[in-house]
Amino acid sequence: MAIIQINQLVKEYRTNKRFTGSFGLIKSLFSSEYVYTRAVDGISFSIDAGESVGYLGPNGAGKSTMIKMLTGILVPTSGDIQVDGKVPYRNRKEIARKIGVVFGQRSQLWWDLPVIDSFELHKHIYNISASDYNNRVNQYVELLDMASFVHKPVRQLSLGQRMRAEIALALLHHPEILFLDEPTIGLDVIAKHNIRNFLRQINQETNVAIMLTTHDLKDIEEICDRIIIVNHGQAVFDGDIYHLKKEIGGINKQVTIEFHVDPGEIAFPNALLICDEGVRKKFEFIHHDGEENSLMRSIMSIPNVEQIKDISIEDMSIEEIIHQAFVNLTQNSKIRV
Amino acid sequence: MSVKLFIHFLKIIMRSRMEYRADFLLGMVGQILGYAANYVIVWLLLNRFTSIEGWAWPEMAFLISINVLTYAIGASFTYSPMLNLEQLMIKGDLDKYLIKPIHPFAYLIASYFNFGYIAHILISAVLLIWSLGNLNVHWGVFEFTYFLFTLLSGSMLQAGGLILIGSWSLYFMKSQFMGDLYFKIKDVINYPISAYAGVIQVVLTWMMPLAFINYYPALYLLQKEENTSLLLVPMVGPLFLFLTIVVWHRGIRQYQGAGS
Repeated sequence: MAIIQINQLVKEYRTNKRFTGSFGLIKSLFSSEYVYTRAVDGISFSIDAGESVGYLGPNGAGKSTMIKMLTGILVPTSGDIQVDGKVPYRNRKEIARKIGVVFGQRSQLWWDLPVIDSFELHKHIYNISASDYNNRVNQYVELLDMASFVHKPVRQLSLGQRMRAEIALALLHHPEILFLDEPTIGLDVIAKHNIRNFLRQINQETNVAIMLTTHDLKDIEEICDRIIIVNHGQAVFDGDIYHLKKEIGGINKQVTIEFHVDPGEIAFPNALLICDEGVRKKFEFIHHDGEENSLMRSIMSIPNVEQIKDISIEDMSIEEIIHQAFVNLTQNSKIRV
Repeated sequence: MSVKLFIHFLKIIMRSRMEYRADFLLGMVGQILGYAANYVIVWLLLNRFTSIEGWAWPEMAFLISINVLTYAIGASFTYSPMLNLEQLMIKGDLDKYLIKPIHPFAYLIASYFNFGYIAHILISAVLLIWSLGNLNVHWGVFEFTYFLFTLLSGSMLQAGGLILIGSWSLYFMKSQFMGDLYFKIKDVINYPISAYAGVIQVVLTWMMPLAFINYYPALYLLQKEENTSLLLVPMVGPLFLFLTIVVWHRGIRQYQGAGS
């Protein structure tokens, strides 16, 4: 069942036109000409209950704008938007009960007070029953390992601790969807890892749908089943990582073979030679469905197989894939899988 | 927002404030000194001239005290949220007031309630009570009720003025200039407006209805003018507050991008 449904959504920002030239400043002051920029330009997708979706794109691609429209903060310029069957900006208060929002760069906790006080206030704002509240606080304190700092003022917490508290707060009223805008920004490797594990777990156990924007592709890899890539306000990819790899050619493997002695020229029917340094040769094996083990067979079948000193097989990293995606997918037309 | 929730907010704010006790107390002392100076200036003037436009010292003290007291009450609610709005917008923190199942206006007011006006309330209440003792007012039930409603209405006018400054930032992103201007102007009603040129009297009555805070109610209570329309004065506050909240909401809609 779709919990988020958007269709041909557009958000246009209007700014005053700036004029240049000797009277430009004065002209800018009095002119009523505007420049329109489309932050979101006709995006459609739907997200089911319990899905976990990574919303990806370079800076300025309209990611935050999308989150703001889904949470009812911004009103779209045109198109349809529904969250849990309702239009968010028209039913802001009702929608607020169904969603949890975490802004990576802004805190929703009370800076000078212990974390637990913010939780307590949240309980009153959302009318959470005492027993539900206690159960959930205990559960999140344990899962997110917050026992050591839940009674400390927020201003004394590390960024990683604070972010855990922010996420717990956003989940206290048991939302059906959790929006996270760059949840791991600025965190160290261990803190990131803990948060990803928790989000994955909470997504699988409580069936809360997760939609997150990020620049850290590990987030996507570890939390999300599905990726939506946007660029220049348009969705250029929507599908899972496997299909994205396939689309980009990232599913091919790069194989470097090192020999004891230069074996001369070697060719494979299913690979391209990328680089030949004599004793070290690098190939790109082209992937074909249903022939997953052809790579090993090809390598083992070369005549001087006993001369091989070392082999390395590399997958394209998700960073490379996404980079490719930003570059390729905007040039080609949209791809849907 | 329920009263219970609002009180919960107040508790939390008080606890927050008490994290910086010294700052809180010093602030109070500073404010008492600042406002005492206001009274002293008028007192010195009156020592010399005995009255301003026919208003003697206890009457002037009454006028000033109502202005300070209602400002303190109104500003407790709206000063901090409205003057912080510009910063909230710049940093994007306003968004978090739009994703809660409570009214953004109520949420903002409750989160920023300011206990710092206790000093204003103390000094103005003391002077007010003193002036009442030295004024020749007949206190029947009606006069007393009128007086209470005057304070209520005045507080609403003061709160509303600050809401307009907040709204200004919703429409135009910047409100600091408006804020400065407002604080320059708001003390003109420490003097009876009949002392000003006619244009200014019109402005203070019909454009920025500050004269309804203290001048018009004082005319009635101190029996300076017999005019039945003065009985309607306490209605101006609620009306003005309502209008300013409407303006504020239109501002929020503009911020959300519904207007353009």
